[in-house]
Amino acid sequence: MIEVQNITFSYSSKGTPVFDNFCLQLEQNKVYGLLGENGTGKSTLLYLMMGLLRPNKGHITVEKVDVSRRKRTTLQQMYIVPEEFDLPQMRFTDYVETYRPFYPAFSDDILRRCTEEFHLPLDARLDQLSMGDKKKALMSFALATNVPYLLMDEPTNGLDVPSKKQFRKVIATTMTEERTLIIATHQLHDVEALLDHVLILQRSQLLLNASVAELCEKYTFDVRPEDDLTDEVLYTERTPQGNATLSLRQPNDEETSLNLELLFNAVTSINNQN
Amino acid sequence: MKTFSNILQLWRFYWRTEKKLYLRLFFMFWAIFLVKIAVIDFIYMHADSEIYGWTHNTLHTYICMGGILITVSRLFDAIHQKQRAIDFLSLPASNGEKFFSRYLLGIMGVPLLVNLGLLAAACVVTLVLNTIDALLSHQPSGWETIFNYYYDPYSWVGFRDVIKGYYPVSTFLVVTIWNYIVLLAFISFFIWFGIAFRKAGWVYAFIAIFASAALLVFFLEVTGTGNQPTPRIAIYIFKYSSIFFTILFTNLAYHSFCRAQIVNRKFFTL
Amino acid sequence: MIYQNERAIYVKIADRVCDDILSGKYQEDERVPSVRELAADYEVNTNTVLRTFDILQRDEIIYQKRGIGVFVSPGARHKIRIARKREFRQHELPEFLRRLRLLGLTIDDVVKAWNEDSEETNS
Repeated sequence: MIEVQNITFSYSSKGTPVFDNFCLQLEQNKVYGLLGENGTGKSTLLYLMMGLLRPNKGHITVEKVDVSRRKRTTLQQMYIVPEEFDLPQMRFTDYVETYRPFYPAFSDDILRRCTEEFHLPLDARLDQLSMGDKKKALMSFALATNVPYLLMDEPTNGLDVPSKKQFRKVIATTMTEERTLIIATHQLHDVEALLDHVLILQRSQLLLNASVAELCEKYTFDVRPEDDLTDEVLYTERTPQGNATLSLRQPNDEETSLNLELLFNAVTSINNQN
Repeated sequence: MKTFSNILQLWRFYWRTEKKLYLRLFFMFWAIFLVKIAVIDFIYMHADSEIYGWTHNTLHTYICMGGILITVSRLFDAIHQKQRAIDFLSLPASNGEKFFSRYLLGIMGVPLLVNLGLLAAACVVTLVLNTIDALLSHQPSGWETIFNYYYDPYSWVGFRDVIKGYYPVSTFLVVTIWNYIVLLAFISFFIWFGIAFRKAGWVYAFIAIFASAALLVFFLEVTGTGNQPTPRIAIYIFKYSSIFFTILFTNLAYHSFCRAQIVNRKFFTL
Repeated sequence: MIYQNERAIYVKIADRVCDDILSGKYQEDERVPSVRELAADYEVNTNTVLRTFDILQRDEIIYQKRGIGVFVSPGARHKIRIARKREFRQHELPEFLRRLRLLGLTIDDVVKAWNEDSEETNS
């Protein structure tokens, strides 16, 4: 479990804090979507959880150990795939051989499955790969480390459409029970079907913290004609198909599937009105 | 011990990821020393002995010391560049293991690197000279000639002096060890500044040292003690306080390292 | 009436599995792909597929053999057809009739269209 306890963090002493007395608890064995527009602090929160940034006040613990201590046992359980990264000038197999001794739970099987799905040649020279392929290589490694806490910052940025499909397949296949995956992204469509839990961040506040099951139980997402906008409609948007609506789910209504973009727009616009 | 094998694991990691850097560093030192020996030593060997003395000793010391201190200060460059910092700081090893694995590289690896560069340059020059000599006069110069061109970077009792019989080996050992201990204080000081300052810590380290030296000289001049012979006690204080300073600076460096973040807006982190 | 494409994902996947059973891709008493395989195929969270299996098991379309896997129940095809017919009668048929009346069409128009379609299919 990752516990973010009353943290305050700002990049400079004069600026406004990115997080002010912020709390969050993340449980194990779930796929979390950390959603928000650019610049809302998603990356910052991920770095704080990895111990790469230190909160000015408060602390963050993983399995009850403060991450700022950067203990080996804590770091062995976590891995972050940053949005931008440099890969050394070596072949992918050499890269794996270099880094894997640090992750005792490393699995060759998962690595093989990921590289097959991504169509990545194992002996490719990392510095000669395209940006998308570099991401896929690092993600394959990240998933193969088998760490219980895996953080990804904008994993689908820079991936072309077929690659996004590969990404979804890979995540769906490798999400075992003993893993928590936190995906920070603004590409809602890419992760919609993969999430267990939705976190919406705006201006360093957590606007929503709910499981997908809960959301589909409480709310209905559908498209309605103009005259059907009754009282229980909480938010609506015009689309070519009609009005996309988010409404309170009535007791006997069948559950609908989550429309993440609609939910996000609803939550942020309601927040902007307040 | 587990920590020892963890440090070995980190060293193996550094070698795999930075081997090009180490080789480049070695060749840089080798090239500098080669130029220094081949050009400066040669030219000034037959010049006025004062000038030769200066170029031989002082310039040589400046190059070696400067090289060691600047290199050592840049040991932790990785933490000042965001992407490398993410990679290094999230690597599963404790702060202590990461710090000491690189610290040891600094206090052992870098002086060794400099010495090897010097030795390699001296070997090459000797080989070339021997060859020329042999071709010209058919008289081989002999092995010891290497040490004509190999100068210990920091020992005023040089290896050559021992070979030539000016000093016994025991003196050489004691002097060399004490020189190394004092050097450690400077090395840890430069490591500390290299970690604590976001950019070019070694510049501030040099400024700090020159400023303190200037202050010291000023103090001596003003109180008139500069003209008297150095009392033994001062030498003892200098030598033994280096042990204290080494420990102090190492602790400060470790503390700064533990507090390093991947984005450091602050100029100087304590 | 909820349009087909807004139904909950796990329901949609259940429909796909039923389609595959009806088409014969999964024979009765034959193994159905595992949770992970289906999650990968449809690119969804494994919990979603678990819910799919829950409702399929509840409707006795599949059964589980501990430690071996999940299998198509005998008589599943029959059950699926019955359930789909019932659903058609409860949802799509009334909706269809409502739209007929809205457009001013009668049952005779339907019979005419049916006959034309049968002729085309037979020829």
